[in-house]
Amino acid sequence: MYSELETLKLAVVDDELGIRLGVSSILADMTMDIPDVGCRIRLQVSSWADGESFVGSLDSNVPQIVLLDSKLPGIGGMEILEGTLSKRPDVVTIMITAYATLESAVRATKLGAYDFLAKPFTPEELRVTVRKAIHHHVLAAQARRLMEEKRTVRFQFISVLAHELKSPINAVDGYLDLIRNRMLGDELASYDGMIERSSLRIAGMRKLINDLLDLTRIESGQRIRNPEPLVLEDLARAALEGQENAAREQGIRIDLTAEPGLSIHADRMEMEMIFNNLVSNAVKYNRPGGTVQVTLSRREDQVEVQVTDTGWGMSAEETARLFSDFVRIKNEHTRDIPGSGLGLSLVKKLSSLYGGSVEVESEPGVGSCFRVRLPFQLSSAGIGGAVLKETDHG
Amino acid sequence: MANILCIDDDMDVIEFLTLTLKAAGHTVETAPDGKAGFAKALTFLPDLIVLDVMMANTTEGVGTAFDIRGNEKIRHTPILMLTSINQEFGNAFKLQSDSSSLPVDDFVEKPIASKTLLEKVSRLLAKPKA
Ligand SMILES: Nc1ncnc2c1ncn2[C@@H]1O[C@H](COP(=O)(O)OP(=O)(O)OP(=O)(O)O)[C@@H](O)[C@H]1O
Ligand SMILES: [Mg+2]
Repeated sequence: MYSELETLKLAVVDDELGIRLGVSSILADMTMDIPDVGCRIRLQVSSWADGESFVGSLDSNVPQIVLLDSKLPGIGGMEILEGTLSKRPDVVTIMITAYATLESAVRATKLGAYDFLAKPFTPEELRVTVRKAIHHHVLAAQARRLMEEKRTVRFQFISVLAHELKSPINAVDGYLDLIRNRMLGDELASYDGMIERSSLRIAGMRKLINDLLDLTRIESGQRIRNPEPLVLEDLARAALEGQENAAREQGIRIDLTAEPGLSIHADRMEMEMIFNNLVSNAVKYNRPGGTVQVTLSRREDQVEVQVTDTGWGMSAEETARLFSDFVRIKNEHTRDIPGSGLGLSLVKKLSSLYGGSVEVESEPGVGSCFRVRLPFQLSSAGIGGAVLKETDHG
Repeated sequence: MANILCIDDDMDVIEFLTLTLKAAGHTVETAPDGKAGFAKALTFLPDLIVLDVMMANTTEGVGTAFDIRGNEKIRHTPILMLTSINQEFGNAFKLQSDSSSLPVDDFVEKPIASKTLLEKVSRLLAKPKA
């Protein structure tokens, strides 16, 4: 169960030989299980008779835990705490104080000590204090790791976002440069194409910003959600209508098959986002004259929204990349299709928010099938009325 | 005038490059990604390659540059790399100041001004072949 055996270094700094030997032998074969992180800790003890040699050793070897005598012959424990150790907030220090006075304990804590042990102490007192320190160290280390990961994720997100925002600006800048230099002569009409493309890129950028705001609002819980009973078929039909024009332009047929009586208790706008994204993708990435099949069905205590298309499909490597922010599959078919690469990421976030899931199956050259599952709610005569019980999705 | 291959995944940047270079009398071929660009370079045998650093993933253009340098047929083709990477990655990549780490001959920062592009292109084409 405790897969990882981790060795922590503990240094005891005390001029009393008895303390050094005692601490070493008591802690030598102590192990400790930390259930919160599933690891087992073992200690490796080193001992130092004076502050100077301990401080010197820190250049090459930093312990995670220090038992530090406050009164040492040369440089004192308090000084070390205040000086060298203050620059190492990850080291957990336990002060050993000769006089169990409250003041020295308070002072040590103010200077950053985690705990203190009053001399003389029993082996059990030592073990309890060290155990506490180990626990503190492990949790603090984990918190630091998570913070670090969060920073990395944030940096990557901002980097990609910056790139996504700069691309349209660069494109428009390029066209302005050509227009400014009359690259196609003095006839204004010659530049219509560039102006049209510039507008499209700016529109795409605006959509990206709006999508990003939607996404952030949902992720941060800032959006006020109004869960209400919704008939699934109505949601599907509205999404199909929204894509009607785009589908007609490409000669694409959209069919809807719905099991009767399917409903869901959810925020309308969020459900619309799921349906719109799936159906718009199925149309956008379809081939001319293709079809889109939307099927609504019940799977035990869930409803399933399945959107199948006869488009260009994706390879296994490509589908593995889907559902993350800004992911777009670039190939000859998708190159000229505008999009922010946020749609599926949003679908995934929303589905999990409702305790559901999303999955994809796709075959290059044949088509794709996206399936979203959401918790089912029985639709009765009382849809929209008071019959349905409000359930808390918070 | 020269044969120039432009590799970029942004169709509007491709449009800009094509118009600018054609107006200066060059013959232009294009490719939308590193793989297609490399393949095209082998048949088109251009005098110069304009290569975007940041295509589908952050290293695609860099990889393509190395592919070009590793191929006997086209290894000496000058490469002009398009970047907008500096601001995004801070100190992680210092491309401009350190072209020795990348097998390319010069850089143009996006947004590209047609004047700068043409100047750099002429300079590279005028360079004696290595
Ligand atoms: N039905 C589909 N068939 C083939 N490829 C698809 C399909 N749906 C999505 N994709 C691919 O997945 C990518 C990500 O889709 P997603 O909906 O997240 O973004 P988008 O459509 O590019 O932009 P938008 O944020 O505007 O929806 C698309 O760019 C496309 O390459
Ligand atoms: Mg989409």
